[in-house]
Amino acid sequence: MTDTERLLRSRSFVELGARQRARALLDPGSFRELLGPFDRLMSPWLPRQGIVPQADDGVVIAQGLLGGRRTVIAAIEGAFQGGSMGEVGGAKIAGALELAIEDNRNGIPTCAVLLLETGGVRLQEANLGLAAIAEIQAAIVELRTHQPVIGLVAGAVGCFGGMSIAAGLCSHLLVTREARLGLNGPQVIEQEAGIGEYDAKDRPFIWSLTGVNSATPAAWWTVTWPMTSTRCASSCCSCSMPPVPIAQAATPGTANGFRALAPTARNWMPPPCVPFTKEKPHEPRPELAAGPGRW
Amino acid sequence: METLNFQFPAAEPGRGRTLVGCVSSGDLEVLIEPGTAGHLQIQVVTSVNGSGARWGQLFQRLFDGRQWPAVNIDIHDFGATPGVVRLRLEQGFEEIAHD
Repeated sequence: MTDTERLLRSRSFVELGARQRARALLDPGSFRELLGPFDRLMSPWLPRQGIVPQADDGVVIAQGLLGGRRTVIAAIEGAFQGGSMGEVGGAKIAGALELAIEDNRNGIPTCAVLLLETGGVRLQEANLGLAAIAEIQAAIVELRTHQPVIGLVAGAVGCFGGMSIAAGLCSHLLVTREARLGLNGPQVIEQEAGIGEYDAKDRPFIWSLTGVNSATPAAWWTVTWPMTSTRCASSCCSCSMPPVPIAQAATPGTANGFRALAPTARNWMPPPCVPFTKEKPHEPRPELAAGPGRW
Repeated sequence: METLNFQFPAAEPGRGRTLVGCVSSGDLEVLIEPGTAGHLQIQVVTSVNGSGARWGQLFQRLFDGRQWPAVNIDIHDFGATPGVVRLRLEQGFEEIAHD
C-alpha cells in the first residue's frame, strides 16, 4: 500500500517549480517578486516562430530575506523550454544581479542565489540569449567581490551550456544528487570527441561523468526539504540552504568541461535524504551508508 | 500556434489575481485577473492549431449554468488535454476565492 499520508506530508525541493523554490528558500513573508508574470514581459521572439511564450519568460526574480540577510533570488523554470535563456529571461537575471551590485556599492549588503535549471542559451533567440548570458556572467563576477553569489542546481534538468560557466563563476555551488552539470550535452561531446571516447547512449557512463557523485551513477534520490531553517554546510555565510551534498565550484578540464569534486569530510553533510520509493524502500546503497570516506 | 478569444456572461468583477500552471509539455499557464462587470473574457494562446471548437466546448461545459465572477483569463497552452485545462482553471478559481 502506498503511504498516502507520508506522500502528502513530504516536501521535495526538486519537485517544486521556480516560483515555489524561491518562496521556499526565502524567510516566510519576505518574498517579493520583481517583474512578475502579470507584468507580461514575454519573449517577443518565440511567437514569431510559432512557440507559445510564458508570462514570466521562465525566470522568477524575487527579493527577500534569507536567514535575515537581504537576498535576491533568480530562479529558472526548467519546465518551460528546457529552462533556456532568452533575451528577456536573461536580462531579468542580469538586471537583478546588477541591482544587487548597486545596493552593495551603496552600502546595503545584498547577496544572490541562482536557482539554475537550464539547458543554456535559447537557440530560437541565438545571439540575444548569448549576450544575456555574458551579462549575467559579468554581473556574477562583480557581485561576488561584494557578497556571496550562491548557485544551486537542484535537478532534474541540470545546468548546461553557457549557464554552466555562470555556475562555475559563483562563489559557491550547491547541487543535489539529481543535478547534472556540464558544458555540452552528451551527443555534442560524442560528435566532437568520437564515439570511442564518449558514447552518448551509455547512460551509466554519462551519469557518472555529469553527476556530482561519480561513484554512484544513476542514484535517484528525493531530497526532503524540511522547510525549517537549516544552516548551510559551507562556511561561506550564515544563509539557510537545503541540506544537500556540496560540490566545489566546477573545475574545467574534463571531456564535458567540468569535473564535480567528490565531497570530502569538510564539504559533505550527511544527507537527510530518503530513497525514492514506490512500494518498498530500497536498501541504502552501501557506499552511501559507509559515509564520505568511500566517496 | 493559434490565438483564440472567448466571452461568457458573468457577475461582478472578481477580486485578486492568480497564476497557476506552467507552459511545459502537456500543461498550460492560466493567469486570472479582475475583469469588467458582466463579462468573463478568455484569451487562449495554444500550440495546437485547429483546436478552437474543442476549447469552446470545454469552456461552455465549465461556465454554463453557474454564476462566475467577471475575470480576464489568459491561457498559454502547450498541448494540455481538456482534463488538465479544467483542473488548472478550477485550481485558479479556487485560489482567487481564497484571497
